Amino acid sequence: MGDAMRAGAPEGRSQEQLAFRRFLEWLDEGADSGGQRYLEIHRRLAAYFGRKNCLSPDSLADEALSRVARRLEEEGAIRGMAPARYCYVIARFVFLEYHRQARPRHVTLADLPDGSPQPDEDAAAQALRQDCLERCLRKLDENNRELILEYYRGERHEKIERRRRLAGRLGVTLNALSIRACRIRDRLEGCVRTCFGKRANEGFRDFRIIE
Amino acid sequence: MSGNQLQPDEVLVRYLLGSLPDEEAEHLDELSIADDAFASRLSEAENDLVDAYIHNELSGETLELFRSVYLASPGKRQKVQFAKTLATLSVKEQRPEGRRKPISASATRWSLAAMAAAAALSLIWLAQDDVRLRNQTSRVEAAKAAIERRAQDLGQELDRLKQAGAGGPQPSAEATPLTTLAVLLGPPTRGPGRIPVVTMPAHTGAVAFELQLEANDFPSYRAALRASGADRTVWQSGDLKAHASGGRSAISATAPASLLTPGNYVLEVSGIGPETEPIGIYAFRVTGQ
Repeated sequence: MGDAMRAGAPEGRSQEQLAFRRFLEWLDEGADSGGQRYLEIHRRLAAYFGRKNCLSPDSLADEALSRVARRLEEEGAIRGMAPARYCYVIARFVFLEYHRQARPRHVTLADLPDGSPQPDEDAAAQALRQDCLERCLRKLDENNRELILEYYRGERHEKIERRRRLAGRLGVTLNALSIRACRIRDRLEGCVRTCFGKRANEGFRDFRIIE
Repeated sequence: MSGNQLQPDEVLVRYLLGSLPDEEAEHLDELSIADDAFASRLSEAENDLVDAYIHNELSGETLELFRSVYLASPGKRQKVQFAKTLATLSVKEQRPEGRRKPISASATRWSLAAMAAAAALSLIWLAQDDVRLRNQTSRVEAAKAAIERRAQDLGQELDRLKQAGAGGPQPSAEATPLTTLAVLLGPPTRGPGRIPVVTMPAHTGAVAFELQLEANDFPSYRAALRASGADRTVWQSGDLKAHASGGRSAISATAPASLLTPGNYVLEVSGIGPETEPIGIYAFRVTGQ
C-alpha cells in the first residue's frame, strides 16, 4: 500500500486500517482473495509503468493505488467501472503527470543503450541473486518447486520434450502447464526481487561468497 | 476484447518491445491492467521473450529492439538476470536420476544407438499421433451428436413446461416455439486462432454451451458470460460439475439466447476449489441468421 495509507497518527490508524480493508474488498469484487488481488493489480501497474520507461515503477504503482483508495474513501463507492479498469484510468493520469513533470536528465554516453548486450552482473550480485532464488524456492511447496525447476530445465527441443513429459505426468495440457508455471515464476520473481533488494541494501551483511 | 484469445504472440512481442503504434499500444495498456486473461497471457509472453533472449534464440529486428529498448530499463534487466539465475539453478538442481555420467567412447556408441531408437520411436509416435487425432475427431463428432440430442431433449422439455403452463404466460396460437441451440466450444488455445462463430437462428430461446476443459482439476466450475471488452458480466452459471464428452472433460451451461445479440463474447470459466482460479476463456462471435 502507498505511504498515504500507511502514514498517520496512531489514533487515525484503526480508521486507516478500516479504509484499507474496504479498499481490498472493493478490489476483490466480492471474493476474498486474502490480499492477492491487491498484489496482482500492483504488479500489473508496476509493469505498466515499467513498460513506459518510468524510473520508479513500484512507487508510481503505489501512488496510483493510493489515489484510488483515497477516492473510494471520499466517495464511499466507485460505480460504473470495474475496479481493475478504474485503477488503469487513475494510473494513466499518474503517468501523464509523471511525464509532464519529468525533467530532461543529463546522461553520459555510457548510460545510453548502445545495442550491445548488457554486461552480466558481477559475481557477488549473481551469487546473492542465486541465494535469494534458493531461499524463495524453499518457500514454495514441493510440487510447485519441482514443477518450476523441471519446466525451465534444458534448452530448445530438450526443454519442449521435458515439458511434454511433465504435462503428461501431471495429466494437464501444455497450455495449462505453461499457465501454472508462469504463475509460479511470477511469484518467485517477486520474492527474489524483494530478497535481493533488501539484502543488497543491507550490504550483504550475512552473505559471503565461498570460493 | 479478451486478449487471451485475440492477441497473437507477435503482437504481444511488439508491444513488449515498444514497437506498436501508439493507439494500439494504449489499448493493450488498458487490457494489461483491466483484463485478467490478457494480463496473464502478457506475463507468459514476456517470460518466453526473456527466455528466448538468454538462450540466444532471438535474431534480427527483435534482438535489436530487445537490446536497445527492453534492456534499457533497469527493471527489465533484473527480469533477465532472474531468468538466467532460474535457468542456471534448474540445471544445477537436476534430480539425481537425470544426471549424466561422463560420456566414454562406448557410451557414445550406445548414445548413437539410443538416438536412432529414439528417432524410430518418434516416427511411431507421430504415426500414433495421427491416429489419435483421427480418433479425437470422431470423439468430437460423437460429442456433438450427444449435445444435439441433449438440446433436442431440452427443447422438448421446454415445450412440455410451456404446455403445462408452468408459471409462465401461455404462448399465443401464432407464436413459434422457442428452440435451444447447442454450441460446442473446444478448450482455449494459446496464440492466434479462429474465433468460433455461432449463428443464432430466429426463435432461439436458450443456448446450451458444451465447454471442453483442458483438464479436470476442480470439483466444480462456474462460467460467466460478458461481451468482449466489457466489464459487466451479463450472465453467470451456478456450480457446474464436469462430465465426459468426446473423450475429454467438459461442462455444460445453458444461457438465455436473449443476452446474445450479434457481437463478440467471452465465457470465462473458473475452477471452484479451495482456491478459485480462472482456468479458461472461451471466445466466440454471435451472428444473426
